[in-house]
Amino acid sequence: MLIVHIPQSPVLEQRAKISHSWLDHEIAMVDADLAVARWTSRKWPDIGTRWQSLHRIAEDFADMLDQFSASGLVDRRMEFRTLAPATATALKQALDLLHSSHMDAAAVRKEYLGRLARLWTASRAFFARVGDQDCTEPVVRSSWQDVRVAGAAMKLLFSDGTIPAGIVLP
Amino acid sequence: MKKIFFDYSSRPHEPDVNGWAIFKQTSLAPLLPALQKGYSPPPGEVTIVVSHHMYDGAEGAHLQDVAEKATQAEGAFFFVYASRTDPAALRDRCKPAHGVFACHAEKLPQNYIALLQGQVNSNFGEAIAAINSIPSTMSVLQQAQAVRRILDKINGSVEDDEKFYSAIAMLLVRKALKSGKIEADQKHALKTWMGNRSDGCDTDAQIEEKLLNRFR
Repeated sequence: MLIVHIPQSPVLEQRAKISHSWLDHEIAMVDADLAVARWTSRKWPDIGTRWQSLHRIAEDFADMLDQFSASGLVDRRMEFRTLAPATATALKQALDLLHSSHMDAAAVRKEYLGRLARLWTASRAFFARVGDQDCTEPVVRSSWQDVRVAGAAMKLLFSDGTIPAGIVLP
Repeated sequence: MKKIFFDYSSRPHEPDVNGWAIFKQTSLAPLLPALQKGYSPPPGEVTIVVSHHMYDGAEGAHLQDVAEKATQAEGAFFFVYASRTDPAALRDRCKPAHGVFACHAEKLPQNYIALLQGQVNSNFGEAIAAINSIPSTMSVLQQAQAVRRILDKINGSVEDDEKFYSAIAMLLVRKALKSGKIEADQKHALKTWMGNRSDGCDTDAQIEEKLLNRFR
């Protein structure tokens, strides 16, 4: 089984936004000191707006988890254009069946959505606290830690291969 | 030539390697001036930045802006995006015409020290070694042209792409046929499709070799 990166694959582009742009750059790489610095310079409200958009992308991604199957290449790649429609359909169905033996998309979706929900709960709590006028630095640190723990749990699904790093070739 | 490498690993800060200044990815200070509109790169200087982080949207536009200004100032600015986690969008987001290049992450090993020393047996390692060997006695224009030629190679060629996707297509059809999930009439159609291809008789090992070759 090979996992390959196919440019212009919507599922991989969305995966990148969640795993890399959000979980890596916006959470894992932001330590408590930086979180506090952003709080003192009032940067979190703008970031919160961006996270709303990232959260929507992450929710939509749950419905894309079956797109890691190589069957999507049949419609997209010119190599298959000479196939008759019925043959192309048969090929896609066979590839989807092969893929389902490697990845249980429904089970992955359930686990993913659970971790996303925990991250979003922690995030909302964090943004509520940093937006509170009575917020203190220890509260920022502790609340941010909750976000990082939830983010790390979600990131694990991407780093351990539960959510593939590319299109899965059977 | 100014060479900057942004380290995305958790290893401690390293001293310069082979003329490459290494900065932690989280410390963007050296790059920030380049990301602010109005910044003009030093005239008559070639700057190359390798980073794992692609600067999205407005920041990406700033990079292009910097690259264009560097050209106007008779210098050059190259940004190489070396991604391990999201190379899917590389071709879309990187614009070689503006000095922003992409490197498939598979070509970037964890041991970037060896990479910067040009000791890695990969296209990107070779590119770094080639950049390291550009003589400082060359004119700025010649240096910039040399860097561009080197970076054009790591972006890969259309011919490489065709071989790669052709191998994928063959692999998929073979696996589908072997799966036993294809009806007889469609099986015949797929075998005919294979027979009409120049690589239709490739062995599984040959196909795999073509797939893996892309990442070397």
